[in-house]
Order: sequence, then C-alpha cells, then structure tokens
Amino acid sequence: MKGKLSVIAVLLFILSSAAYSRTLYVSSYNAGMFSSPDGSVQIMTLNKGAQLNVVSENDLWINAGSGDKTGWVKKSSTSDAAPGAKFTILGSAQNNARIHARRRASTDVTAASARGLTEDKAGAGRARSANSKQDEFDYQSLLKIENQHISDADLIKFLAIGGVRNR
Amino acid sequence: MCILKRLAGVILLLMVFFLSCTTGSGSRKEDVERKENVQRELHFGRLIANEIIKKFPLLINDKVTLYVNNVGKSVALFSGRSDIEYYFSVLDSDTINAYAAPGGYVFITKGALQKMKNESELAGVLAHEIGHINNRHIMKDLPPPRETKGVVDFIASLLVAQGTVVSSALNEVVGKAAELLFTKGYKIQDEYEADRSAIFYTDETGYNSRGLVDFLARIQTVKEGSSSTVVYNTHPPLKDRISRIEDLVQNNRINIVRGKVESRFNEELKNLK
Repeated sequence: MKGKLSVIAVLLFILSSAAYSRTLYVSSYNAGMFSSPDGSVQIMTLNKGAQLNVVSENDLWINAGSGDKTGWVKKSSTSDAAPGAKFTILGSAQNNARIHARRRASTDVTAASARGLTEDKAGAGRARSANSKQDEFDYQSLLKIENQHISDADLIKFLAIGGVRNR
Repeated sequence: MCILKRLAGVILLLMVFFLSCTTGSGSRKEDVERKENVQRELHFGRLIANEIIKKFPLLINDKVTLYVNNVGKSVALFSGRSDIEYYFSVLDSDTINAYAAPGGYVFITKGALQKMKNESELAGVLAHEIGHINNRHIMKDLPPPRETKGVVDFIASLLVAQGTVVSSALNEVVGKAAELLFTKGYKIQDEYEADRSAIFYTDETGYNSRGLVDFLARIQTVKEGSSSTVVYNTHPPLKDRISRIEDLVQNNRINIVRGKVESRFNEELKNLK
C-alpha cells in the first residue's frame, strides 16, 4: 500500500511540475524557428497557435521545443496565452455610438446652418467648439478609423503582390 | 504507526491534488484578468486617440489611408499580438511624427509620409508605434484607474466608449497621456524597446528592416526648429537610436538585403507628394 501511494504521489508530482513549466504560443501569423539565436539558419516555420515548450531564453530569443524540433524563436512572435478571438471596441458599443453620432450630426448641421457652415465644416469644428467632455468626443472620426478592416488573407496577398513575402 | 504512515501518504496525495487544482483555477483567473485588462486598454486608448484627432485632423484621402492600413496591419499580423485590432490613420499635418495610443490606434502625419522613400520605411515607422502598443508603454506608465466592478463596470465601459462618462480621475490620466505624446515624450528606454520591436516585426513580416534606420537618418538632416519637425522634442537623440538599431541588426543577422518596395509606395502616395 505504502509503495503504491509513493508511486502515485511521484507521478502526480511530475504531472503537476509539468504544468508549471513555461509554455508559450506563436501569436504572429507565423514565425521562423532558427538553429541559433541570430536568425541565420531557419529550421522550420511555425504557424499561429503552435505550442512552444521553453528550454531557455534571453532578452530577444526563446529556445523552445515544438513537436520533434527544438530551436530558437523570436520572443516578439510569441505570447503566454493561446491566441484567441480579437477584442474590439466596436460591437455593442458601436451601435450606441452610431445612433449617438447620427443624432449629434443632425443637431450640428442645424446649428451650423444658422452660422452659415457646411456640413463638413460643422463636423470638423464639432470636437473643438463644445464645452463639455461629451461634446469633445469626435465619434465620426473614431468610427471611421475603427471601421478599417482587412482580412488576414488580403494582407498576405498584399505582401505577396509587393514582393515582401511569398504566400 | 502503520495508520500514521498511511495517513501521511493520503495527506501527501491531497496536497499534490490541491496544488494541481490551484494551478487550474489560477489560469482561469488569469484569463478573466487578461480580458478585463484588454477591455480597459481599448477604452483608455480610444480616449487618447480622440485627443490625437482633436490636435490634428484626419487626412481625408481614402486611397492613402487604405494603403497605410495595408502596410500597418500586415506588420501587426507579425507582431505577436493578436488579441486586438490595429487601426492606422494619417493626420493632416506637415510635422514629421507618428503616435500610438493603447488598444491599437496608430497615427502617422502627412509630413512623415512625404519624407519617406519606400514601403520598408513606412513599415519601420508603423512597426515602431506598434512596439509602443505591444510593450504597453503608456499602460505601464499611466495606468488608467479601475473605476467600477462587475455589471456596473460593463455598463460604465459602454458609456466611457461613447465618451458620455469620463470620470475626473480617468480624464486626468488621459490628459497626462496626451502630454506624454505631444510634449514630454516616452522614456528613452521605451523608445529603444519600440525600435527593437520594430526591427523584429518588420523582419518577420518580410520587409527590409533597414527602413526605420534609413528614415531616421534622413530626418536627422531636417533642421531642428523648422516648421516640419517635432520629432526632436519627443524622441531620444536620433544618432543614438540609429547606432543601437545598427548593432541589433548586426548581432541578430537581420536580413537587410531585401527589396524596399519603392514602386508601389510611389504609386500609392503620388497624390501626397
């Protein structure tokens, strides 16, 4: 009985120790694994999400194993959390902001017309002319910025067309 | 005695089991914390982005904006941070500068674009700004206050996103962040770290990583105090930065013989020159 307990305890200890060892994930679209920490000889390409079991590391590079290969990966291409969905400020907040922006736009245009301004000029001056913090918020510009979406596939295509990298 | 030994064994097993369970619940807690931190960063960053576009209007040029987004988002794809969306905008200003706000907001001035010669330079400058975001420089130096908790926090966050509720504490930190961006500048070490990140990001993307150095060397020749400069106020000496980047490139055998993508750059920005 004592022997069995000891074996189980040792096994559990090893398992729990393994859980503590440092694991990182490739969080770039993909990342090169190199034979030394200088990017001279590439062993393989790791795809986003690949798990890396860290052996050692310096400021810029990680020596890690992935599958049956071990090599050096740039630390900047990794994360300690497995890559998941993106967080964005849009979504539920977007609808509210859009409604709010529309409501504000119509008010501004009315007020601007009285001052002899066009709709564009009214929009440009909106953020600066108001007194309260609420009126200093340029929703339309922010939404314009935040609505710029380009798929990963299109970005890879863009890089390929420019000769920056192969697909 | 035998019973005592068995008891000790059982206690040992329970301790190991408890240890394992603690690890599991810790990870879940970390996930929740990570999510909350990103949401806080997004809302804080949006307020700072608003300060930037209050100071400089956005350039209204869809073609240029799309091109800058294509370059910036491509570099961001290889920057190792995939939990946020990055947004790139051009500011209608003749000054030579670029800004980053937490949560993925990157701005570059028209003046900076006009001083560039190729796409690898644009990629290098945008990568430097992505470096400030990914290394969380503003978030570390000026952490936004935790305002509320739970459901109240969620509702408040929506209101903050709309700009309808901005507490005085949060407003104060946003003001300090704007001061950092426009007047004081980042810590020198943060600038060096952003440069280092930029070299690695552009290299992973496939750009010639000399782009950033080439651009810095060119603007070094722009006279301080002329109408087109502000970089001197908010960045460490360019000579220092260039020297450190050169060392980094050499020590890490970064590929600097790749093409610099000139023809597409000139075509996309021809109306800006």
